[in-house]
Amino acid sequence: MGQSTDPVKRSPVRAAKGFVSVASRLAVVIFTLVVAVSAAVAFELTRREEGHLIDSKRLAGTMLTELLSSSIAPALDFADADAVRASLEMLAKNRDVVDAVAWSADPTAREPLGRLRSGGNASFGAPNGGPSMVVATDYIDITHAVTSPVGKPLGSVTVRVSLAEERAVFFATRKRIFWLAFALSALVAALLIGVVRRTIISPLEALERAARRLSRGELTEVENLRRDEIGSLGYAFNHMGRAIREREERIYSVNTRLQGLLDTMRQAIIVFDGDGRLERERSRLAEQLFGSASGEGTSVVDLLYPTEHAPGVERDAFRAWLGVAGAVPSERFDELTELAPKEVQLHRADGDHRLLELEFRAAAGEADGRIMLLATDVTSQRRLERSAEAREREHRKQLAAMRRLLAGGGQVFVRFLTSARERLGRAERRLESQVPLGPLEPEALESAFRFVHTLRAESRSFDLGGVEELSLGLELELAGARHAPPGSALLVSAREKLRAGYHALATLLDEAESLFVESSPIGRRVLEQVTVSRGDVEELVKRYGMRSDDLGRLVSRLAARPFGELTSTFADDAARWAGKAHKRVEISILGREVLVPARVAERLSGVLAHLLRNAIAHGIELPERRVEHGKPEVGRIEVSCRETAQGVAIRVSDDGAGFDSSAFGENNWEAAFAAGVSTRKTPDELGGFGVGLGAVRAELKDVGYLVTLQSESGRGASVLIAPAGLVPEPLWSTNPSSS
Amino acid sequence: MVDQPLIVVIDDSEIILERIKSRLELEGYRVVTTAQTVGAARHLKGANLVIIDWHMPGMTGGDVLDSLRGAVASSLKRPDFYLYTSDPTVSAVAKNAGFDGTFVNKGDDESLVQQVAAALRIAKLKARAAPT
Repeated sequence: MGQSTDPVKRSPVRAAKGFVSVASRLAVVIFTLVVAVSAAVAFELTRREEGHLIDSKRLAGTMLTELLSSSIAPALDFADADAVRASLEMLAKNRDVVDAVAWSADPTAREPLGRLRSGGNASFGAPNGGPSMVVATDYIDITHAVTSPVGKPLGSVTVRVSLAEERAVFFATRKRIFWLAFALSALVAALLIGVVRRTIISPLEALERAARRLSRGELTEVENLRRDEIGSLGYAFNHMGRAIREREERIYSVNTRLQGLLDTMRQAIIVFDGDGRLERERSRLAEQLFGSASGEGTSVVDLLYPTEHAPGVERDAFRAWLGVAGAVPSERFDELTELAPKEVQLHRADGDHRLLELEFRAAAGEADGRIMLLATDVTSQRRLERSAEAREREHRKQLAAMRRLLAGGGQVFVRFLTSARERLGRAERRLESQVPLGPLEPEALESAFRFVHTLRAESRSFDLGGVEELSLGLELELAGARHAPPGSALLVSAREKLRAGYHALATLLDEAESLFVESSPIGRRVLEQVTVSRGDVEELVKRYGMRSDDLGRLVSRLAARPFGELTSTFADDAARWAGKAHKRVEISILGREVLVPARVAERLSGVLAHLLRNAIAHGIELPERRVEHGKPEVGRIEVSCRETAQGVAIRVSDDGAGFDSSAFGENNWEAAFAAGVSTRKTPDELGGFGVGLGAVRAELKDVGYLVTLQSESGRGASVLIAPAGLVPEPLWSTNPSSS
Repeated sequence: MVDQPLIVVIDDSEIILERIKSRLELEGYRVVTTAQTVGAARHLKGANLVIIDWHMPGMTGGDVLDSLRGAVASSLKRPDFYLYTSDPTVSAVAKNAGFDGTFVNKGDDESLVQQVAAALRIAKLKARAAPT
């Protein structure tokens, strides 16, 4: 017998010991009641019937006794026992008479005078017994006094009439009535059970099934509602079901919106209790990031710091923090955020590692101690940052190396670059001369080996880490191929690797050159530098510098200096001077490679430094002032040099406040060159004595260069230094060009 | 800078010391390094954390710890002593040797930075919980 599938029948209440159906209880009660009532009624009815029967027999017996007493009086008067007996025997014909006895009036008589049945009970009747009637279970003893016609007591007669027949009838009737009552009770009980089952039990069972379906979340209503209390209950149930459904839909809608909010967050969100056990709420990103390890009930310590991967100290620190944070009231939670871990390296089940930034907050809810974790996956971002930092560090390292090279004489490095490129070119040509797709020949292999070996050593001395590393790799590859049998596949692959390696080396050498040029204050001119004697150059200039022919021009060029050389310290100087004036300045040098004639270059360095100081002291405003005027905090100064047919033209311009025209008069820039003029009220290290511009102009006029000013109030100023014959034109705007 | 924790690192390798120092200083910590066990105690004044390599010449990290503890004046606030090792068997004896914990040497500085931060957090939590 299998388990019932009816949920009602599988109810734990029904299965419990002592369950008794309402119908059964009612049936038992009704049955008992009906049986009792029926029994009582039956008992009363039969009792009355019995009484009637007894009364009838008594009456008959009385009459019979009276007749007997009348007929037996003469016999008793004469104490004629035979006559008495004969009279008594007359009664024998009457089957209701069980026994009869006649007693004389003699009080001493011990035996009756006559008895119908011999051997009967001796106490049956009594002498001189007065009229009496004794009703026993099976008989009635009727005693009648016998008197003479004159009233003389003669004795008594007692007749015992049987009640057996009456009793039999009575019991038969009672039995019949009993069974009828029982049958009636059973019928009533059965009917009652049926009615109760139909009208009460079945609807209740239907209600119970509906309640169970509702508890499982199924949409359900009780149908065919009756018009009675049960129907009213069903109606109330349906109403309750609809209300529950509406409430669930509202809750579902709210939860869906909340979950949607969680899921749109870019962090993985999980919530855990004060013991560190994860709760059900989490964002979709958390499901994806933490996977199945983030099930409800999981320990957040194990999730973030699994024993097999995380160092013990990090687990201990987090556990210690959790112990405090989970117990502190939510309004004091912020005190502890500083002591929470900020990052964790998550080891996922698929072997992937993710770097997470962690943010902990007290989660609002019914109880304190719930904590929300917002984890942001910064793996890619951090990788990029580190890569950029690494490249920046490498770049700085290379720049530092290059500056050291420059400080020690860049010519050596230039020679190295030239030589390395030449040897690389020869190595590449030798490689290409090999049989296409064939293995590397022994001579070519040896030649290549020597080349990369030497290059590696040279690059180490110039701190070219990339070239050194690549060369080492090729060297090892070739060392291994050296022992390979001729024509082997190893020699073919070595050739291919060599080809790719040469291409990479060429790129690295180009990068090294670019870095070298970038580090050089004179730009690409540094690649053309050679070491010559100053005395020799001066002698050449003295002899041939004034000539206007090609030789004169060549000698002049030889003595000329790159503009970048004259401004090589300006970046550091500008930073220092700006710092002292509490200003911020960015300086750009354009035209570093332009060659400035020697006679101009001699004067220009000091002039440019003076103009730069002026720009910082007078032109560039304080940062807060610049912001007020809608300018960037950092002021810009541009120092540029251009080559023209007449000579070089130099400009120093800034985006500062421009010249204060009130000091000179409107557009009266000539006044600025007058000795003693200064727009500074108090002189300081940077400026203010007012002799600068005039001295500058005089300085340069000697060598045929003029100085002019351009300024626009609030927007900036420019100082132009150009050859006297240069046609003035609006070569530049008043503001520094963006570089 | 004065408020930043002071970390003392004791290791016989100058290269390792230099690397750890530069990485931890990048995080804003004040770092003092020494390859010499003799006289190392003078660096402990004001130190929050001391990191000790187990394999030192002629002695173990445990010996170093004992000598440092003995040298630290009782009036000074005792720093936390952490062992730095890649050997799991050594980690197991660290507690018995008297270390407050162990930093696992995974070969990368990032891991050490995280562990140092964790150790300092533990110290702050203990200080917070200690009765005033």
